[in-house]
Amino acid sequence: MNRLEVKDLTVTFPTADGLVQAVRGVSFELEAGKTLGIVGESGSGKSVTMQTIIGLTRGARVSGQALFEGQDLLAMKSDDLRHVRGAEISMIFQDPLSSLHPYYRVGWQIVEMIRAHQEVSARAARLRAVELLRLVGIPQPERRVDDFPHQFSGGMRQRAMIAMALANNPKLLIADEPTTALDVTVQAQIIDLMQSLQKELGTTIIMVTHDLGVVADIADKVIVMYAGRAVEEADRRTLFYRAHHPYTRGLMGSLPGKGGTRERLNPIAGQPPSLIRIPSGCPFHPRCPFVMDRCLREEPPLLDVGTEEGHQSACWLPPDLVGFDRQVDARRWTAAEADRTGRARVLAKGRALTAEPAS
Amino acid sequence: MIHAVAPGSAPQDSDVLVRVDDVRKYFPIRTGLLRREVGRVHAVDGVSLEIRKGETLGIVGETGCGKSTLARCIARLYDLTAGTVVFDGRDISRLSRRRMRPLRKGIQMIFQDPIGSLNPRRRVGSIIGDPFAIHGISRGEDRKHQVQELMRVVGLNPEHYNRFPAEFSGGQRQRIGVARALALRPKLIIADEPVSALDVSIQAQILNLLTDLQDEFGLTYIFIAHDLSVVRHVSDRIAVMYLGKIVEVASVSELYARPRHPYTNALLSAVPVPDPDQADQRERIILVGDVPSPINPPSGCRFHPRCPKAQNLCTEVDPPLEVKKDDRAEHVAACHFPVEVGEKLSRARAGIAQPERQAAVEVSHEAVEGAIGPKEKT
Amino acid sequence: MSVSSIDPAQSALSAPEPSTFGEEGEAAKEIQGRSPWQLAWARLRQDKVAIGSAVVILLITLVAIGAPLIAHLVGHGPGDTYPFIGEDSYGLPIGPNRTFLLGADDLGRDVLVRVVYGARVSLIAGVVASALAVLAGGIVGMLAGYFGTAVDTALSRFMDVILSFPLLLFAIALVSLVGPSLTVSIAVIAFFSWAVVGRIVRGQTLSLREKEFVEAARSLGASDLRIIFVDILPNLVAPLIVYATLLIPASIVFEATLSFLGLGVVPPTPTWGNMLSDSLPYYKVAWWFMLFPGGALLITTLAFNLLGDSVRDALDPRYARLFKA
Repeated sequence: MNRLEVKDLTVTFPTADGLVQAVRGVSFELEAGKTLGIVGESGSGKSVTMQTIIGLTRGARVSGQALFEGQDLLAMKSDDLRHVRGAEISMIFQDPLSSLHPYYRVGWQIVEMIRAHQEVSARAARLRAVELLRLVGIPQPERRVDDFPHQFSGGMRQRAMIAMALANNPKLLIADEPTTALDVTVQAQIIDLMQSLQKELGTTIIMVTHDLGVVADIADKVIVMYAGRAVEEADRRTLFYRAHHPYTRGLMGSLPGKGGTRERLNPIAGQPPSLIRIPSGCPFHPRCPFVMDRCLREEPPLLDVGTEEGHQSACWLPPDLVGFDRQVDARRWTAAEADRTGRARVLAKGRALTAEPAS
Repeated sequence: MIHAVAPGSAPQDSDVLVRVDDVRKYFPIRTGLLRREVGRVHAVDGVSLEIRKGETLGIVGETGCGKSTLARCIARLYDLTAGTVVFDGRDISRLSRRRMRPLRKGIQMIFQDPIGSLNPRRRVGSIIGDPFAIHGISRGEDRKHQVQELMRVVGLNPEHYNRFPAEFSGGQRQRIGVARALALRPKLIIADEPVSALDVSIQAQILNLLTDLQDEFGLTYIFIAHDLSVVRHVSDRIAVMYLGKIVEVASVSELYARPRHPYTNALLSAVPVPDPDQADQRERIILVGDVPSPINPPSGCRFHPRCPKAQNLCTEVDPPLEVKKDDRAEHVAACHFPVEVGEKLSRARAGIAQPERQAAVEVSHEAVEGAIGPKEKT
Repeated sequence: MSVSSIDPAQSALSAPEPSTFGEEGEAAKEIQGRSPWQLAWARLRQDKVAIGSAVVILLITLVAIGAPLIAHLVGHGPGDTYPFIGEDSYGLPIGPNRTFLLGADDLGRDVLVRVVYGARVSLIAGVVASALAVLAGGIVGMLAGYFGTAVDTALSRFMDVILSFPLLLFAIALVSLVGPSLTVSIAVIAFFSWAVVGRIVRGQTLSLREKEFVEAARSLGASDLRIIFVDILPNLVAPLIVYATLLIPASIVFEATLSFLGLGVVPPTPTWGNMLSDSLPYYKVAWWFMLFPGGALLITTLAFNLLGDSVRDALDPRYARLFKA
């Protein structure tokens, strides 16, 4: 059963400079009890996608569908949506201070969260709050329940926010860069906690992050976003070992630690595009080492590639060219070379400097 | 006094660019109208290190461990509370600002925030030209040529000389910071989290740039980061800091192959690995609780309240940084009970807890295990 | 979550730089180094309110400068009394007519000429007092903020003392000692205004001092003086300009108040304040006597305030992103 089904989600923001096309037709499905990782760099649209689904984008033009157990979240009245949000879907943010009110005690905020969605006595809600704080590993929860957010350390605030997000046993937990501001050992604590909770409560999780390491750790399925689109979608292993899209390949090549000490990394050339003036054709073409004539004109759709089920990529390269080894890169290069004239050739020449580790 | 390098293997003095000896930096906490001192943050509390010519020393540790403070002590942006810093054979730890000034040519910094480290009201050319202006090295057209040459070296378009920082992207702004640091041809560059504010693909561009510059100009780096995979990538040796002290120093390969300090073990195990197979096999050591306050650090070994191997000795005696049995001479750790190769800590829990913390820690474990554990166990 | 709608725009706008190698061609097409000042100026020029206010202020300034000319054209000096043609048979001021375009006052003087001359006092007092206040406040605030510790404590306490002074009592006492004059008015206004500026500048300097670019300058071996003038001051100019433009109308009102109370410029020199004061007994019979100096005061302060708001909006870096090419 699909817990969440997003169909052709488009989000634009009108600004003084023009229309910011933050999300441009994103679709995905997510099974209950699974973890979906959404990765991308800043400006890829990953956070906006999530915020739109739960109705937190203001001043945006939205189209498409987001079906949560069959109900379209985007078509819901704001009162109904508010009920779903918090009770059945909750969200964890990067900055816990943005969702913990500084002037109210942590426990009181959790109690309010519970009582807003369930008819329980204040006493029962408080007991539940203590239990939740204990669950997320806050020491002495009976005492700390009456603390203010500023009395908590960064890691504890993040845990308190998770406790709040879990207050009503949500079916879907959306975590937007939940560990980015935290140190690695605290990050490990939080990820450990989320995994245990998923095992225990069967929560469906969407993890939005720029950290491929976090995704490799916990995601069942991964979506890579670039310039407001999903450019590749695959299960975790396929994505990390048999990726198809040159952007995914570039991200992996940019990661330090894999290559070994002081080896040159293979970064992606250039900068991510402006979301106001998205390049024609494939939005990645100005940075892509395998650019072809076709990429300048037509935006590739998300199509099945490779051999694994559910592996999709939005790239005009032949669908069987997956993986990272030199032979595959060489075949990519050859395939691209066959369809290059004029401008594509010029672009590719510039790219070859940084993207020819394969040869 | 504790030496990071065992006497027998001490490198020749001529190899050493910076010698840091028992450096301490305490920040007083003052309150009230009279600014009375009510306490001290022990940001750096007795650090000794040597940095050799041409190497990259990585310093890792979590928020508040004192790594940035240590960097600023070495760069003499801070006055030291105690200890000495010897740079290129000269003790700079007590030099006045005036006498320090000519020596600053030799030590430069690259900062974390690509936005905050560049004055938004000044043109890029004048920002990069600052070092020349301050040290009265060149002026006019001459300076402009030098600045444009620097811009070329770091991969910026020299025609953008007259632009303002806001007109550049994050990665390019960091290149501007690199160009400024490079201007005086320093011997030592201290990079404080130079890539942590950048996106992955841009981060790799800057890391490559730093490596290239090191090869080209024979630079020595102190590279500070909280991201272990970045530090691992650029460093020859790594020093691990915890709560104002160095707990372990080793070459990169040694540190990753045989981490001896339990904190190093925990830190390494916590780094997310972008490889699903490795991620699945690995066992994370989940540390208990939070880093204690540097205002009133724990007695003995500062890691003991969270350490899975701690015993009574650890609460009383601060372990010296020394070579442990079977380790190479340059691998030092500050631990009474170092982790043996093959030893697994992931199941272990903190043994010794501070009196007032003990209850809390115990409760939370029971709670977590009570709430989550049973089904896992059956 | 408050930033959810801003985020994408920001990241979008930070992007459109060409990559570093091999794209020199593209660079030439782009706008060449527009300074933050140029950007602010461009924004200001598009702001209709700002343009309107600036035009009004310019007109008032021209009128003030050309006051003798106007007096010459009308044929009445600012202190000339016309008890026969300026007052009716009951000795009350005469209303606007062909001789007295804006009517006459209680002594039969031309209101138009006096309002025009009053503008001189108001503008001089406003501009000079604000300039002095900004200068003093800027210097003290910068020193306090930059050097911190004991310097800061001493200067901040001093500013606190000034801010808690009973200013009218002080003004009355001072005037009774040295006698009223424009100079004394300006000194009093500046003395009571600079501490506000000083506090703001101190706060800004404190935060600027902690910026990494200041640390970078220090790591290069820059002297305190260089850091203050090269790194800190340029970042203070924008807030200082804003405060100066907002301080001018406040100073004008302050001066008018002093004159109104007889503590400012000595009669017969016309000021809007002493004209208003003189007009009080006549407000039922001679509306023009109160309306025109009052109106002039209102329009002038309003124009300066509106311009100040526009300048602040134009200089505010939060809006900068909207204008990046």
